[in-house]
Amino acid sequence: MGRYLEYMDFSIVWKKLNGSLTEKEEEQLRSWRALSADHENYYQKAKQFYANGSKWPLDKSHEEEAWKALQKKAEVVRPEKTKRIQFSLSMLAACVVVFFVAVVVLRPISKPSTNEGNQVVSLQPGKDRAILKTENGVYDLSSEASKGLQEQGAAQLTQGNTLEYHDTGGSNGKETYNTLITPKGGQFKLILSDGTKVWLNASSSIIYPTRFLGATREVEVKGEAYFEVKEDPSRPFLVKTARQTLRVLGTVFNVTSYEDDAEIVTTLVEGSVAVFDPGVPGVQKVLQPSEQSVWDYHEEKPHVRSVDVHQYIAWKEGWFVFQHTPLIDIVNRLARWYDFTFEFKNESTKQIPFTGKVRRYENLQEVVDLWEKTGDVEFKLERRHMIIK
Amino acid sequence: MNVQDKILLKELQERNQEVFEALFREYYSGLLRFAEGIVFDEKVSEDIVQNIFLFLWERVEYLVITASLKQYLYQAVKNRCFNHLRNIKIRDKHNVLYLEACLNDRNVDLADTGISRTIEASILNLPPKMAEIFRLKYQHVKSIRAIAEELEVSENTVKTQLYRAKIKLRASLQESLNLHFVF
Repeated sequence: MGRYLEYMDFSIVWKKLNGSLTEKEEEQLRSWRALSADHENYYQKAKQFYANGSKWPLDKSHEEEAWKALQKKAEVVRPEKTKRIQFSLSMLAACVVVFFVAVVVLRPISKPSTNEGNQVVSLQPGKDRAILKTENGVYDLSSEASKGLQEQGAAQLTQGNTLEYHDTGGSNGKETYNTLITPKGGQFKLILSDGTKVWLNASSSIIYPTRFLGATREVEVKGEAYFEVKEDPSRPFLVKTARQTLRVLGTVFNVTSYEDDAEIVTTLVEGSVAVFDPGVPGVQKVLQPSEQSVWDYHEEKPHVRSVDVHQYIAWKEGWFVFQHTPLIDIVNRLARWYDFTFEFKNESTKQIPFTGKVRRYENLQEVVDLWEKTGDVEFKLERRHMIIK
Repeated sequence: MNVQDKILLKELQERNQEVFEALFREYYSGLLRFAEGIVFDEKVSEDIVQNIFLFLWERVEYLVITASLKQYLYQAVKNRCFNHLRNIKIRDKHNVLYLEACLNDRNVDLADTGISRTIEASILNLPPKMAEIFRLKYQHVKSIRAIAEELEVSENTVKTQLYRAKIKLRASLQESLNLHFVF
């Protein structure tokens, strides 16, 4: 596989710092260090550490500071008896689930806000936009300027929302990698050279070769993506994320692996996929259609459960669907699509479960209005920052 | 999970701040050094360990903890450290980083972090006295003073022996790595 996916085994770094390396290993280490400033930085820090030992004092002087910092972040409040009771009652109330369906016709996004009177800035939903990084440069796929992409050879922009690659053949055996990145409030569709279709959700990225030349087809994903993999039993398709890897032949699934989430969620629609971590031998789960694996970063292996697939892939069809979803997870998803930051004033609010279905192309105010009607939560939007009580 | 941990977990779920603080004070320093031994960066190790506690506090109702709280915390920190390393394309095929990280945390109980087998063989190669100190320190989690008192030697002797033991361990670790690479 190409250089983007190559890993350095730490034992080589260790042997360099505690002994000696073979020529081949020296060369491996040299090229890895030269590859990025982060690599070199890590190497230097390891060197310092092994020479000088820990930077943290043995006494616990730094602990007090850390505790204060943590208290601030966690808003740790000592719960009083009465508060505790209230808390559980409100949770109970919230469990009496509110169900609503907002069926509104897709409106032009330039519709002027009617809410200016009460200080509410209307946040518009995301749209089809992305950034493409190639060896030749960086292209903004939402602007007209990217029409010149053709010169890349294989890549072609169609309908303003799809980037399509064609395997032009030829004997040149070099794999070239491109990266497609969606910002917050962006989404894009990608058709790889083998015909595999990928829908990239907001705040996500995918690294892929412009042509697949190896025995396997490999891509690397951060964030959320929906895949329709072209069947090709002779060349398995591998999807790498921060931790887990998926091996598939031809199949339809959704994978969610945001860096700020604590888990990687893989939902299978059709076919079958194998979920594993190349760093942990022996652990592998094979999913059946309508099964979902949840791999918490803290767990050695993924948990598999049966789910209603619809909820997890509805984003691709333009819906947000929530089923007993904690508010914190809902707001997280909304924040990526409407591009805002948020804070919860009250810890207990985070876990209130909601069920419902909302159009992805509503403006945000209309979406949160529905939640406010339940009386359990209050949203206040200040510019692009939401305060939730 | 033992009874004590079950009670602690239940208290955490009921948002008992005192229990949370006690847990923090028990494990913070050790976890910090453990993380440092993997990522080698003060700031990164600090962020990772603080975030684990934050995560524990915020999501405790949803966590499924089967092992002990201590194992959970170490495993969680370890996983986050290795996630960090994935971004700079580092793997730890031979558990070298893990072993070093355990050695860096003076409170770590090797028997309970799951690498005891790797290290057991190495300890067997140490001179008997050194091995004894090493076991007391890393497997029975005793303070340097307690070991000195128990063996009736000075604290400095204990420190020196531990230091030498680490060097020896590193040497035998290297041997096994070389073997692994040759064959």
